[in-house]
Amino acid sequence: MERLSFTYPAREAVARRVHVGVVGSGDLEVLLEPSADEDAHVAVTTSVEGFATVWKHVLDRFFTRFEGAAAIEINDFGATPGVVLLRLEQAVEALRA
Amino acid sequence: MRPEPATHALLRIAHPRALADAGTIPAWAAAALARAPWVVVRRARRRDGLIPVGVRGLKRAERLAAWLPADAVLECLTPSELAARGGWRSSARAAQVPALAALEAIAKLMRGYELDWGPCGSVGFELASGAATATGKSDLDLMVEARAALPRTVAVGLYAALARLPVRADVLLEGPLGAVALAEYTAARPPVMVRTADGPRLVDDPWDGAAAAA
Repeated sequence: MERLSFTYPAREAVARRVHVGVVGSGDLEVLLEPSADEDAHVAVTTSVEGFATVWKHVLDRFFTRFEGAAAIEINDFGATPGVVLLRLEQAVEALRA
Repeated sequence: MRPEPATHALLRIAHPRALADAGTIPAWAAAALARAPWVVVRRARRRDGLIPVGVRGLKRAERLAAWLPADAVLECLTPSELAARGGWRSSARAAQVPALAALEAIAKLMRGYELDWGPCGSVGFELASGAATATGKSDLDLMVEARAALPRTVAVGLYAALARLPVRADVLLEGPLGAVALAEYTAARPPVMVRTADGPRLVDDPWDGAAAAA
C-alpha cells in the first residue's frame, strides 16, 4: 500500500458528497466531498507502489477541467490512468446530477 | 487453428525473445518469462497483426504491456478451460493459498447458476503455468461469460454467495461491449463502467445494442 496526497487551487464550492466506482481489480473508488478549506485535496491509497509521477500527471490533467474545492479520497486497486480519469469524471457528473 | 485468443487467455511462448518488442523489455520481465514462459492477453486491439499481451512480474508494480506475433503462441488456455480442468483439485498449494482452495466452492456455485466462468489473475496464471504465483493474500479474480444480459436476480444471488466465501472474489462479466464488474452491476445505479478494447466507457446498459454488436 502506498499513500499519496496532492493539493490543487479551487474556484468554486462543492455542494455535496458523491461516491463512484468499485473496490475490485483494475478499478478504484472515488469519494468526493466538500473540502474543509478553499483548496482541492486528493488523498490516494493505492495497492500498486511506485507510480507517484503517473498519479500526479493524471490528476494535473483532471484539475485543468475541474475547479471545485473538493476533498477527494481515492482507493485504487491497480486501475489504469484511463480508468482513473473516467471515474473522476463520473464523480463530477454525479455531483451535477 | 483456433480463433483469436480472447482477453484473459494465457499463452505459452518459447522464450522471452518470442515477443515482438523483446529488445526493449525490462530485466524483471525477462526473468519472469524465464521462470514461467506465459503471457496474458490484454484487453486491447491487435496492432499490425500482433496480439496485445501482458507480462506479470513478482511485484504488483511489475506489469508489462507487450506484443506477440500469433505464430509464437505454443499453447492457449482460457479461464473457462482452466475451470473445466479443475487443476486446483490436485494442487498441493491449496493449503497455503485460500484463493485456490475456494475454487471448488465457486465451481459448484457457478454450476448451480449454469454460468460459463473461469479464474484469471494470479490464480489463473498459476493454474495455467504451474508456477507458484498466487499468495496467501491473493484475491480471486474471476470472469463470467455474459454474452446475453445476466438477470439481475442471478447477479445479486451470485454476488451475495461470493461474499460469503473466505476470500475476496472479484468478478468481471464479459459481455458484448466489454467487461463490467459484478460488484458495480449489482450495487450501483447506471451508468456502469465497461472495459472495452478501446478503453473504459460509461454506459447505462452494458447489454444494450448487444444484438447489433454481436
